[in-house]
Amino acid sequence: MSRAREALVVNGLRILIIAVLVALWEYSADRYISSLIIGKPSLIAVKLYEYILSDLFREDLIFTMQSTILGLFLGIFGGVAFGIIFSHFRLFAKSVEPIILAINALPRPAIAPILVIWFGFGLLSKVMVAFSIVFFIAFFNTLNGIRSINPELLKIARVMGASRVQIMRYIVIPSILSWVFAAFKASTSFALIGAVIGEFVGSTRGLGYRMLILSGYFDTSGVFAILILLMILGYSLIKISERVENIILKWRPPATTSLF
Amino acid sequence: MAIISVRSLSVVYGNGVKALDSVDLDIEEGDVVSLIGPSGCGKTTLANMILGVIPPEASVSGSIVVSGIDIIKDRKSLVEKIYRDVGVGYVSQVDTLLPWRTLMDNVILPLQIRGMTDPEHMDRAKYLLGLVGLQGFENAYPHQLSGGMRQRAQLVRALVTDPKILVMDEPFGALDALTRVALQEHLTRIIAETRKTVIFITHDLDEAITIGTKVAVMSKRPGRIKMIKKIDFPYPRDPFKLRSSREFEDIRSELWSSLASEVIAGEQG
Ligand SMILES: Nc1ncnc2c1ncn2[C@@H]1O[C@H](COP(=O)(O)OP(=O)(O)OP(=O)(O)O)[C@@H](O)[C@H]1O
Ligand SMILES: [Mg+2]
Repeated sequence: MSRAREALVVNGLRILIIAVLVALWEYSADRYISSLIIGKPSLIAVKLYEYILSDLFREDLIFTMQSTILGLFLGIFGGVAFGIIFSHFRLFAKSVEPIILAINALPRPAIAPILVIWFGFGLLSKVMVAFSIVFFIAFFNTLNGIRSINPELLKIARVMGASRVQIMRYIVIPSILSWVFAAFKASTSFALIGAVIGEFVGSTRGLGYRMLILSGYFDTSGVFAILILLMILGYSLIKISERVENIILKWRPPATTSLF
Repeated sequence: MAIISVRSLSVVYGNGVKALDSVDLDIEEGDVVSLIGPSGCGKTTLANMILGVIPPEASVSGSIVVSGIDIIKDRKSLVEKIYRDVGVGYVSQVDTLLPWRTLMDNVILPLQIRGMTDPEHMDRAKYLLGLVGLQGFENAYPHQLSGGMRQRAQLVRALVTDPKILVMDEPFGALDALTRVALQEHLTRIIAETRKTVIFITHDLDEAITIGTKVAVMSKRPGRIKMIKKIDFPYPRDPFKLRSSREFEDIRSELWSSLASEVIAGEQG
């Protein structure tokens, strides 16, 4: 099958599947199951429309996006930097590794209340919850990246007369870049999770906060409307990071083997 | 005085494998030493030792003095002086092009590291790429090149700073016979023009004789230098002419018997 034809079929199937699911949902709601429980697509659409036109929407969206993106970037930056520093001190690294693993094992929703106590009801506490997840993903990926650097490359760089800084710049950083991007992609959704958890625990704004309020009123369709917005937000973040990755890591061989 | 002087060098790797056993080797400035010996006898290990890239878990005894600096005892910063002031070109046995750099960016890496990206050196990089038949592939990434092309690129990268010492670990292993002979000729010309001291590791006896002003035969593992044969053909050399000469045949059979006894002995161990 030609590439263009395949794309056409795939897109067609996608739309069809979604349409069928939504139609089934619309049909069953209030007929077999109450829309108070499963919502109803037509109601959700109306809620979504009203919400998007309101001032609250802009405020909530900006708030959640800010904490997600700040937590994401600070976490990646901090995790990569700490990972690189960490790998330079072998004995220290060996001693501290279990402590870091233990901290990372803490479920983030469990530490969110403390973070809200420390950093308040505003933006900062949400950034910190997102950061607390992303940081560790970036940190561990960076460590793995550094451990998997081809030692032959370090050897040739040394023989070329490279200084420590040059080895960092020409060998280490490019070697770990694909690991950093893997961390970045995985982290986009985790940053969003962190931001929303932060809003659940204590906030005055944000998509997660709005959802909590609506669920208090049993406004199921309203909750679904916000879920859809969160889905779109998370999905866009992943897609954007994939684009950036493909541009920066354009040297990578394309996957030529396919399982199917 | 020898520019490279190895004295009773023994190397035992972390896993207990004894790779080198009391190796003695003197290399004078301008020598081109072909190092030949059975697989696994410690040729790469010896090259690594001379290059000062010693695996931290290996236990090493003896001494290696390169250009007046003791590789094993002297501080790291002194060893780094060899790389910067004397200049060392190295062609690894394994693929060491950086996958994220294009061919051109790979071969100029040593120039970037040493701050030599002036037009004259950049032109030299282009000239060398042409010489080994890689013109037109400057913007290709390593995964888009064949194994032999990557080896030739490593050769260019080793030569681009015009180093005084050149260490090559089976640089022509992945090449067809014709390309190989052509590159052997180019290499002897470059060596003759720029007066380099060379360690050339190979499995191919004809190649060892064609390139070397001396051929050093190593024993099976743990490796020792078993014999050193001077090769007096004038430099640069014409591989085709050389190989049909009587003297070449004589040298070849002498070295062959020395090598064969190692390979046969090697099969028992
Ligand atoms: N890093 C290492 N750790 C442990 N053993 C090693 C290491 N590197 C090499 N060896 C062992 O040392 C011996 C010599 O290896 P070396 O690579 O020097 O051989 P070689 O003469 O270059 O072989 P070839 O011609 O196949 O390249 C081998 O038996 C090998 O298994
Ligand atoms: Mg070897």
